[in-house]
Parts: sequence; structure tokens; C-alpha cells
Amino acid sequence: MTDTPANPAVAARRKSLLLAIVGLVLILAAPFALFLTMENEFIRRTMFTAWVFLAAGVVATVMALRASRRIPVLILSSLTLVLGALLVVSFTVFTKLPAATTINQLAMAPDFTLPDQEGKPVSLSDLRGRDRVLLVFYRGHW
Amino acid sequence: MAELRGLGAINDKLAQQGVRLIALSVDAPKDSKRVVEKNKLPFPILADERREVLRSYGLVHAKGGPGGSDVAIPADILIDRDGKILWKHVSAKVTDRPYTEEILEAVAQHRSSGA
Repeated sequence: MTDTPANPAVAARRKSLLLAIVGLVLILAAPFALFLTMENEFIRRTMFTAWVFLAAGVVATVMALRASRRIPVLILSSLTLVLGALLVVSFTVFTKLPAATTINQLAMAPDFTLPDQEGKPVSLSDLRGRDRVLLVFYRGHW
Repeated sequence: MAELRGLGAINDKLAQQGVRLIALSVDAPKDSKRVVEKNKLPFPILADERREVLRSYGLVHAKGGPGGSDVAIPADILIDRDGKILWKHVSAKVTDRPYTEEILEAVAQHRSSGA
């Protein structure tokens, strides 16, 4: 006797569980997928990859819930939706920066002298005397 | 890091337009040296460890860094030969960095005033 479910309800439960697992995996994979595609400017700016994985995870979870409401599916789905919500909050709220006001009132760039990565002092006034300067204030991790 | 690599890729084009690219962070020189070497950056990274330059430009993100340290609000500022600010892009979100195309356009549009 083969293991094929003659009962369509069993098939629906299995499909539902599978979808719930897939949904959770997609949400968990979202940050990693984003990290792997970060070399692209557009993706860094929009976090596109993460949103796609998030959306796919939510869709899979909703499909799972529509097929079954049994406990395992409910647990997995709740976990997925909570993690998904956390990701959305971190991508929207936690990426906000304080408004910079002083820079908008500056007409001239304040001069400075700072060491470069070799420890050699570099002055803005020395550099810009010959060329225009593109000064990039950088913070790590993005 | 990817942002710095992207800037490295347009460094030559910037130089052709008479623009020197200088990056500035709060990291110590030896940490920036690792970044420059690992990413083969053609431009220097200056160390503003005391956050003095950040303060003079009003670009401090208080407690925005690891361990509650003050870091920079990311910004790109195009400075003329006489020190005048020609163009700037100040980030409202951490992910909000100008595309390299936008930088090149700004450099082409905002030429030096005078010679």
C-alpha cells in the first residue's frame, strides 16, 4: 500500500504545513538574501531583496493559514508574522537618522586637518586649493 | 563597504573632472587602513576620532553607533576650490545614499565658480 493520502483533508494539512515552513524560511532568509545582494546600489538604497523575501514569506504563510488552522500551522504562522513585523520595523523605523540642521546653514566648508589611514595629516584647505573636493562622511555597515 | 567600493569605481571619473575624493569616518587610522587595503580603495579615509569635524559640520548622529558611540550622519559634500559648498547630499535614512550617477551629475553641473 503506497503512502498516498486518499483523504484530501490530509493532503491539505501537509500542503499547509509545508507552506507555513516555507513562509518562515523566507522571512528568516530575508536579511541574508539582502546581504548577498548588497553590492548593487539600487538594492542598498531600497532593500529590495529583503522586501521581496518578506512579501513571499507573508504570501506563503497566508496560503498556509487558508488551507489549515491546526496548531502547528498556527504556531509557525505566528512566528513568521512576528518576525516579519520586526523586520519591517527595523527596515523603516531603525534606519531613520536625526535631521542635520547646521550643514544646511553652512555656505563655506569648515577647514580641518585630520590623519589619513597612514597617519599622515591631511588638510582640507591644502586639497581644495587645486581641485574641487568631494568629502564623503562615511559610517560603517552600509 | 559596498558604498566605498562604489565610490572607488568612479574615482577616476571624478579625477578627470578635477575632483578629489576624500572619505571621513570616526574609525581609527589603523581600522581605516584595513578597509582601504581590503577594498583596494584609491582614495584616503580620514580619521575624525574626536568627532570634531563631525561637530563643525553638524553631522553628528549621537549614540548612533555600536556601543552608543557617536557616528556620522552620512553626507556627500562637493566643495569648491575656495571652500564654498557647491552641492551636498545629507542622508535622512541609513540606506539613503546618492547613486554614483547622481554624484557624477552633480560634479558635472556644479563647476567651480571663477577659474
